[in-house]
Amino acid sequence: MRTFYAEALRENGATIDLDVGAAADAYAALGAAWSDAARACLPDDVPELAALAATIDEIYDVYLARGTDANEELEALRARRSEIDQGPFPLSVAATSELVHELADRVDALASLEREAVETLRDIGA
Amino acid sequence: MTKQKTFKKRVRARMDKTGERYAAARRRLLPEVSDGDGTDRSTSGGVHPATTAFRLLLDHAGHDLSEASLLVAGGGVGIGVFAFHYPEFSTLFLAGRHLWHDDLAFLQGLAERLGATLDVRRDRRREEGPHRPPRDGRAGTGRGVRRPRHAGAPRRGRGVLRRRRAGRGRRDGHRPDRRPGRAADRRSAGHADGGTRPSTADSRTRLLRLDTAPDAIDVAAAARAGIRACIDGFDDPPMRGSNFRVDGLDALAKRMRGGGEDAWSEVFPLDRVSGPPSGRSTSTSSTTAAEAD
Repeated sequence: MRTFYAEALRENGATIDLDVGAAADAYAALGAAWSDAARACLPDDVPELAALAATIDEIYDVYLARGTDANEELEALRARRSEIDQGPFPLSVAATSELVHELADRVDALASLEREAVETLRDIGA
Repeated sequence: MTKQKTFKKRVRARMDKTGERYAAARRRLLPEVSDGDGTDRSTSGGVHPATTAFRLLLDHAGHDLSEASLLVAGGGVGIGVFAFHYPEFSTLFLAGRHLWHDDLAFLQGLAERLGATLDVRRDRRREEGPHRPPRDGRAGTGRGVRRPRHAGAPRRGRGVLRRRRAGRGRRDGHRPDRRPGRAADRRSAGHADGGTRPSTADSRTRLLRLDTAPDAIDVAAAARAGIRACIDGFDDPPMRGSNFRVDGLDALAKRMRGGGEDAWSEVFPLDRVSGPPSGRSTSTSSTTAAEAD
């Protein structure tokens, strides 16, 4: 949503005859930061979590490309996701705690970026 | 790695190649939709459901506005941060659109800024609604249609509703809304068919029609008003509590690190990670579940 909003601001900048460049840049950066945070929830270096992330991506791709025409394939993918989802959690307590703290740092950074982005909107003077 | 590049990566690759903006590149990569006579009605290709629906309505009324323009005029982005705690599981919900909790309010605000009015018809009687999905769970996807529970998945949805009505569930820092309409919505949502996910009031089927639209739309004025609405949404959100503010992220980070009954270690207990005491399999999602808009 942040990435799309950044594009939307740029597209509308000329129309509203105001400088939206800083706000668009801020929301583009924010969108990228949110995507990075989402990816960090399922780290690539943990095979089970990477497999879960890959399956979620595949469900997204297949649905967008073929919609309900891909129902059978989607059901199979969802079954695979459910199978991974129900498996034992692959991280130790210590590793999980470390991951959660890393994610908390990301959330703090996101909060700062969110506030900065709103300020850039205010600066547009709409 | 995924078997195929993620769709977003393909969109970005096309952006790099063609210089198109995100929405345009995405639209090009989505399949065209025919209305049966071979005519491309461009009913697919949207980025966001509400703004896509409104773009189509305007298109039929003879106004060619991009979805991007409608997103800006609609108020753009917002924020929602919720953690739902129940005895057996917890989930984290993050939302990112302006008025994310109320599609109708978003659309009506957008219509007002464009100088248009909407005619909205709701499926209030769930059993007799004109667009009610089949009771056997063979419903499609998307808002307004309840989706069948995945085979083998825990029956979380019904549990959520029963517990919420019984007062045992709670949301972080957010008092239950006791307004009559909301309570009725919850009761209505609780009548889910067996094997289906719960619906909320805002998921009920709606039929939208553009009641009136001006001959000429002042897009610039609408966009400026939309940006102001976006700022107001962050400064003075329509609902109380930090859940509708950026402050909700501060609280979330604090809970992820800290102690207290709302601490992450209590909400998503780590002792379940390495071996649940009952021998019951621990779901990956019970520890890391997150849904983002």
